[in-house]
Amino acid sequence: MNDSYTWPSISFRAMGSDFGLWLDADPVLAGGAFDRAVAMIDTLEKRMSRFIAASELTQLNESNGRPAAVSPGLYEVVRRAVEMARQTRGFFDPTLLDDLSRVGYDRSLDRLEPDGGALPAPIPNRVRRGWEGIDFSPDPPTITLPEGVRLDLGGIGKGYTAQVIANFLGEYGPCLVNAGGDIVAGEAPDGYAGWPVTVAAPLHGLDSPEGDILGLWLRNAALATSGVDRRRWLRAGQTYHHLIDPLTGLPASSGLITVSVLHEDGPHAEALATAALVAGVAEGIDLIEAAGAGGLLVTDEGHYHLAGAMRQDGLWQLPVVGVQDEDGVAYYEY
Amino acid sequence: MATKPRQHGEAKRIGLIKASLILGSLIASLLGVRMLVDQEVAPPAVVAANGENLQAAPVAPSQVQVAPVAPSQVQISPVIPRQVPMAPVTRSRSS
Repeated sequence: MNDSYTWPSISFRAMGSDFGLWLDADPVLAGGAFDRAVAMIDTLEKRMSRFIAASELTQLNESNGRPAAVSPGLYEVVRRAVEMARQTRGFFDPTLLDDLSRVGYDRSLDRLEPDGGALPAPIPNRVRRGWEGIDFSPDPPTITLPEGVRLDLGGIGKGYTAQVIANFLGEYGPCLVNAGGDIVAGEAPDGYAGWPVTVAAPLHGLDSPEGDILGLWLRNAALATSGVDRRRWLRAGQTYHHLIDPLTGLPASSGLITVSVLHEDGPHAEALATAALVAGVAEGIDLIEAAGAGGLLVTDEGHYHLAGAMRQDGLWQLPVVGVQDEDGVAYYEY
Repeated sequence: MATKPRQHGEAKRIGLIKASLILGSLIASLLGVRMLVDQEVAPPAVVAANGENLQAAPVAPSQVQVAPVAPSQVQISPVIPRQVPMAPVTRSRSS
């Protein structure tokens, strides 16, 4: 992205997303670490993907209310997901897979038809707050899903992966991991206050600097973004997206288009970002600040709000934004 | 030669002045000594039952250096930059 930086890095596709790894270390050492990290990501994808028929998650989702023996890794990420559901008062909900499939996201995005036709009928007696009934038994790790409850770990899984890989690469030196927009940083690279990262404006890609909203030096922290500006598809001429409101079972319509969260932990940041996006501006800021995190919330009218740690100095005040309307509210035009 | 009365009175006055000067000097020196004595009074000795003098030694500056508290390794607030980068190394966005 920037040729002036000389840190060894690697970029690739995994989990249906763009991944990037950076390591402030000798290039030969970094190359070996990257090889192992890529293999770890492949293992994590085969464990947590709902699109892989033989994945551990698929097998768990087919357990139909029976106890299922799982790996310690899957046990951990499901336990974290349920913990985040509780902490966000259910705005983050990992048990919405059936709702997501019903609105059309029943296969990986690159396999969806241009317009999948009319939606099937609503799910009768739809289970709400299914996460409350999940049972955990640690030794050996066993998870029991209530009947009719199936898990989607798509979002939190990437935050979890970014954290696991950052922990691994951190053994070799200062590192940075970007797992489809969910970023986790280790120690700062030599000579810098942190890793220079930005939050991309809605609809902007990884390589469009004109779309940066703000930047910060990230060190021993995570920065995750959830949004409804991507993973969209058509059904019967209507656009849908992948962030489901647990109350309605339909794509969330909270007035927010993206939420970015700064937190010390990758999966926590990702789940908080999703919860805040579903909850809307007021409750979203409340959730973020109650967790001691920082947030950047962008509305579908182009206004943005800073919450918690994001309010502090140290953010780059990027010149491409900072526009203010007549009420003095900063906004970004996209 | 007999002294004249005027000369006698002048000599007497000079003698009085000398006497008062000597007296004043004596009082001043006594007071000065007293002030010095006041300054040099030592604190009472603190003696233990076994006769050991427990008088505290003058307090020397502490040799123990208190280390600054190490910052937490967990940093969730943005870091104040030492320099503004030319560009980010990567971006966070929805996926």
